[in-house]
Amino acid sequence: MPAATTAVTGDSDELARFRQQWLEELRAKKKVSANEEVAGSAPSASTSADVPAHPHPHPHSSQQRGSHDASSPPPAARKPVPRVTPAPMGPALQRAVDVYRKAILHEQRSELDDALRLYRTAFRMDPNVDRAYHLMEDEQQRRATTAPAPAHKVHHHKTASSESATGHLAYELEGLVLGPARTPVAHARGDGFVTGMLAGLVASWSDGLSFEPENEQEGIPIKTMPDEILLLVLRRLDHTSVERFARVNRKARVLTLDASLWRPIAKTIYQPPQVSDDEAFDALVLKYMMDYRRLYIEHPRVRYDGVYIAVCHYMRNGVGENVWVNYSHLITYYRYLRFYPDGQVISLLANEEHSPSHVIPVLKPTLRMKGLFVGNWYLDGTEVRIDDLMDPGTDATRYSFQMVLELRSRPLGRWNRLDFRGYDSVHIATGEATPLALKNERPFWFSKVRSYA
Amino acid sequence: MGDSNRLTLVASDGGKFVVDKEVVQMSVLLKNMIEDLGETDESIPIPNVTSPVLTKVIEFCENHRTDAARTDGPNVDGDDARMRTAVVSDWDRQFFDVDQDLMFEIIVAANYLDIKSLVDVGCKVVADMIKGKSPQEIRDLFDIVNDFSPEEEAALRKENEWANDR
Repeated sequence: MPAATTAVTGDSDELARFRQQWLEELRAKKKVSANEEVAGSAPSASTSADVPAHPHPHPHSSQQRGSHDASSPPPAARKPVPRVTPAPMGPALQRAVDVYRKAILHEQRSELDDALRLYRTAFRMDPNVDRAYHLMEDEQQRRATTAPAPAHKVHHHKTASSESATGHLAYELEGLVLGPARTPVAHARGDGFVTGMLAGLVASWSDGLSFEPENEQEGIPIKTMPDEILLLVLRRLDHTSVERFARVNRKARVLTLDASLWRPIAKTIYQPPQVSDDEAFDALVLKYMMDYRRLYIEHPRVRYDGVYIAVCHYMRNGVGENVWVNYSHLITYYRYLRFYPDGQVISLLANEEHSPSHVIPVLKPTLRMKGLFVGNWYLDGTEVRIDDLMDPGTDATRYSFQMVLELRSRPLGRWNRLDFRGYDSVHIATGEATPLALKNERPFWFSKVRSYA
Repeated sequence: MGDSNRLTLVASDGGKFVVDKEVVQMSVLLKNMIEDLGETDESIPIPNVTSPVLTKVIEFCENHRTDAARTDGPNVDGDDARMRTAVVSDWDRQFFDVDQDLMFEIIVAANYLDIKSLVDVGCKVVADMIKGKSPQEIRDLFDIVNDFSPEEEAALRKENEWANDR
């Protein structure tokens, strides 16, 4: 299928042309109706910084504007644009925006199949459609300066099941450059999109990327490999190896953004118990604008490719022969949590004699040792709930345990920390829960274990 | 010839190979072709594959003819987790212990001839070569030049920080 090998950046020319045209139209319009403009947008302080308040007396005003754009980084150069009245859109773009608006309506009614189909159509009609849409929305808001409805409401569309996850995510995203509302978008091969910083970078590269040899005189075998086959190779690697390969060269980065790579990874992960039901995946895909890789990075997920370990300490007063000395012992113990995709979880509490290097290789549901419990888990937003923790070694148990933990990520994308929120013993016969004290507990940190993958 | 259980394959450079029909049929492409042709004595040209590559492809199919019926092997578009964890057998590893040129040509030929098990093993061997290596080690492995600007390299390193836990 060599015909399908067009790179992610296929539309970059078109995009650049569109932007150029747009800017020019804006400038032209501004010159003509600048006075009106100023009256309309006077209250905004940021406007005056980016847009000249009067028609430039200079005959070379557009050139000056050009150099201003060039001196600032590309995203900043584009940002001021939405503050200005958009130029009338071409009929094609207008149609794309109409389709996009319909898609949003369907999404809000939770008709996800229709929404997804329409989003796809809209982006196919014009890859810039989301920005154009938000531009229009911004403009309407600016005119009706009353209610400050947030522009990214659409992308933070909430489904009942992921309410808390969404809130958390919105919070996490605030500090990031990749704000979802107005990010660059590029087509990824394999029916998906690339958003954010990578889309901008990828769009700046030329289309004819390839693996070039270190020594220009020689050919290299990998250069002759069709993308389809390289993707088959990459599908056999875990995300760490894929992302390392991505840093080899530009061609490798573009290739490793392919949706055919990230879609299966994301789809395999975001199934119950990571999400509330089977249909949640499609909603997540929409929320992340069909950028499967970003979904996988930014959406909370409990990891299976290793173990979460908490190292805890406490001091115990000891007794000694010398009455003038206070004896105290520093006691270290470990808590382990290993999660399985089928909803099973192992919890192990072990002292120093059972250090991680001994425990990790044998930590399986079949392991029997003191302090080992097996239970069930599910993820609700960023809250990991573990129920029915019981010692599998004994039948005569009257109590089970339950935990609530907060899943966190440092940096975003690792999902490598669990903080205790609650720990109860549950009387099985009555279902009555009694909180346990959590005074020495430390956060769990994730350790990747090669043999678990 | 006359032996209806054997067929002649002709490589792009004219090299002729007489092979058991059963072995040839591991290629979905050739299997369909044979079914369309019906009983014939004519040899089958393989225009995209050279003799050295075809030799290796036939060697693989001869060796794996008995496990053709096996269904538990990983397959190209199947289960993702299994695809990542599948282990390459010693024989297969030995088989692919050739220079990179030939290795890649075998995989491309297997893809063209539609021999799933060979594509599978080949991709897995290449994946194992990449696994655990740093970007520079991968460049050295395939002799690829780094075409990133220093700024791009820094930005990308930061962007994929999330994936960099061992």
